[in-house]
Amino acid sequence: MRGVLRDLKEYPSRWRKLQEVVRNPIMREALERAMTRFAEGRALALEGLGDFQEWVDRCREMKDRALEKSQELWDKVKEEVETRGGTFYLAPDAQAAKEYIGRLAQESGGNLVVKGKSITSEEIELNPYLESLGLEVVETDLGERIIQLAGEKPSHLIVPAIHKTKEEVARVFSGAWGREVPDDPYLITKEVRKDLRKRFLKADVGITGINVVSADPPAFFLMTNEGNGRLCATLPPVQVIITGWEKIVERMEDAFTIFDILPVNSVGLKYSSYLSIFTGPFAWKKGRQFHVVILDNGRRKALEDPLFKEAMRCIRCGACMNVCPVYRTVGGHTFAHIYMGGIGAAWTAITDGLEEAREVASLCTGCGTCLEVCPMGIPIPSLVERVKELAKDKGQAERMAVRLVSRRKLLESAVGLTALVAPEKISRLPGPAGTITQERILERPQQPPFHPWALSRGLELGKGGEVTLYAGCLVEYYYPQIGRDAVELLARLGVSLQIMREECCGLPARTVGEMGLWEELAVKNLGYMPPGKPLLFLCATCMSGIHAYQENGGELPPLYDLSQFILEKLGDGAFPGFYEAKVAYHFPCHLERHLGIREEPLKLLSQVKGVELVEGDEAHLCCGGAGLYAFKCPPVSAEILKRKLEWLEREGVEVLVTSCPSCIMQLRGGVEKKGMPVKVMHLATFLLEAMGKGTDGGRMKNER
Amino acid sequence: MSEDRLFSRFVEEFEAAGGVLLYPRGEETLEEVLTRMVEEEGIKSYAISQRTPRFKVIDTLFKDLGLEKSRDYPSLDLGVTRAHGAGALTGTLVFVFKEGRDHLLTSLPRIHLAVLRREDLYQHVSRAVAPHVQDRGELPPYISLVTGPSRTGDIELTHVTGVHGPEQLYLVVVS
Ligand code: SF4
Ligand code: SF4
Repeated sequence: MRGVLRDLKEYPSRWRKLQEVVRNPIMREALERAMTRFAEGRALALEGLGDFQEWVDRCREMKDRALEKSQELWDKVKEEVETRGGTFYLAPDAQAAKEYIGRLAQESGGNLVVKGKSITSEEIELNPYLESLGLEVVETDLGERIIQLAGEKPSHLIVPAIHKTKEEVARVFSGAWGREVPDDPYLITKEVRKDLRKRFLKADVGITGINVVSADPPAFFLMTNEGNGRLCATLPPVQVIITGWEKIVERMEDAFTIFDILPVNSVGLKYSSYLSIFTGPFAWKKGRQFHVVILDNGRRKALEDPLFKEAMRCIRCGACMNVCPVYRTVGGHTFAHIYMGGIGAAWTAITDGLEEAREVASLCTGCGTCLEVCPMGIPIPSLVERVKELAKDKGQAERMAVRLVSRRKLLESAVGLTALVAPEKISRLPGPAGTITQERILERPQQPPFHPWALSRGLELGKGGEVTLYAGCLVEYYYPQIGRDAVELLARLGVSLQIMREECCGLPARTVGEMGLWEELAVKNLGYMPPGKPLLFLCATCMSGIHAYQENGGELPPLYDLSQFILEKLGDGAFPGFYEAKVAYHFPCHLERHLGIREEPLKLLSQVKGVELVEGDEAHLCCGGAGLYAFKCPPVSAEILKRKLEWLEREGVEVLVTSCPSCIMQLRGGVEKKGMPVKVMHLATFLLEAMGKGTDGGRMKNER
Repeated sequence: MSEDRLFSRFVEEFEAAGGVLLYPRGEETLEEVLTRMVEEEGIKSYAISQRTPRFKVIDTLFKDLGLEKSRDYPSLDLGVTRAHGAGALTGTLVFVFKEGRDHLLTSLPRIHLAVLRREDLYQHVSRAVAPHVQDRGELPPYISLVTGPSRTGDIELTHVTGVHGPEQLYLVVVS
């Protein structure tokens, strides 16, 4: 209980922080620009590569194979490095790695260290450590140099200083060099070149990260665009490589496979300017040294975990962040510890502990947008869930809320009470909770619940219904009208329904890592499900939650989303309805990305006469609702929603249809708050209205 | 891929990445294109990595043009080196280094001119690296794959070339 109170007390300040971030126009605009550019570039560049899924399969298989025998492969690399006169050190943790590199630097006899961009070195907080030894450390990647001089953290994986305008960058360098620097990117770059060139030539030690290491032949691959990496690696007398245990692949060809996809997926570039391959001391000058530091720091342990092991395939291309609605909104200062984004939550857990990881994880909506672009097939949302599961003592308030909504009896009482006391629409909550209603209104739950009504209509199990309906908690207690509309719609289409006893699908429990509760609910629901008969859903999230029972070996009847079911029912026939309006469909994340249902809803809607269908990329964006997320991170949720609403406005959409009550809550809340003339409807309601109240009904414009 | 197709694909990608193919180009002779490059880029100093006859030709030409040959690599306008191979699919040049200072000519001067033998062109750049695997199955200490000039977008995503490496990458292909 204490944890819950502590959490609740922290919420308002957390919200305030998030609000500040989402209201920073420079950051927002810069992030937006970068991510749009990279995402568009990626799409274009991918065309030249053929089927993306084939790449994913290939990369995944190749990398898993290497990780499986990583010990053997590293042994081989070590032997070769040492044979050639280099040193090879496997650092068990961050401290050991820092100390080792610190010693190398001190033994070099000099004190100037130049560095290429390396997130592994950030992981071990190398710079402050070296500085504490009295060494001068100079980052040489332009973006990293800006950040270093400004004393800030990177806001984006690929363009670390994206949040700084050229004027701010000019000020940073003016301050550092004690003279006026013009605010022109070209001129600044040339000045930096001059400044850093001197340092490269004088440097005693050069430290770089590495993207990939191959075992056959043993080789270290480093990709950069600016060319600073290869200068760091080849100019100073002491070359130090620091990289993670997971970077290993078997053959040189495998490394090249990764570089075929890395720059394309990352920034939409076919190849970066420089791919440097190092294999041992490069003795162009006498006495040059070559040192390799491989960092474990939790990695080998992670390889033993069936889920975390999947994160080890990450090649840090950043694509998952470029498309992530949360990252686009708050950036890498907020949605990160050191590693950024949803995948960053997993990496933080592996290398830095659960406390920080949970913080990062709590910002993820679980929308799954990242799944579509990861070349290594990493199940990012599942990893985020796992982090939450392991970080048991964190996020107590959220867990408590989930335990409440996962228990039907508790939920029923809570909702019943709310329905009694709350006004029909809540447009402003008091105190700090006002943040929740800043960009959306809340609706009062409708009464009475769905099941008693359905039973009164004779829909109980075993009465010959051909299809079983799983209504889900939100239809049951919040929007029972959707359920009633569905029953009527299906009756008019000649389908005989039955309802089943239900527990919560368990998805909320899963998303906060309450796996025990999730399993308990799954077992119960599986027990209630009549075998063999199609199971029909009015909520994409519930369908996805129940679909996931298969992971634990649950045997399920065939599952249907309403759109799938009706299309199948209609066969070649058209939908017998009419609705004259500009209609858009909002794809619930769970429907599209977790269940892979992408075509049916549009196909069905386009069959309804009178419908002018509005399509666009925005139809697929997360709405920011994500169950309890809208209450947990209201400012972020509202910003994500904004994008959707702007689209509706731009396109003049009159009716927005969707298949998830949680999305309806979010979308309608936003539309009504803004007073937009858009009706937000469940597909069932829309189709029923299209069929009209009479036999040949339907909706004409002037009827609404 | 036919040899001509391979070559045209290479040129397409090489130039898309920001490189400039100097030769062969239309009817112009090697001397003509190099002279033009020297004028256009305002090149005053240079260094050259090899002594083979082909490089001699270039060397003599530069001398005749009055360029200063210097060993102060960091302040040079132009570095001339051999490219040991190339990959057509990405327009990438391969430079292989075992020892010596030649690698500095690919990274320090303002402009880099590479000379590639047409028979060293492969479809995928990995094929162009493979021939350099040595006796024990190992690679030389440093191989540099270069695709276009050095570039950045770190300030407001504005594209700027010549951050730490060459501003411009020129190529001469000989058969
Ligand atoms: S699931 Fe959605 S919010 Fe979470 S990391 Fe992936 S894209 Fe971002
Ligand atoms: S998780 Fe996948 S998409 Fe994200 S950085 Fe890693 S490899 Fe790239």
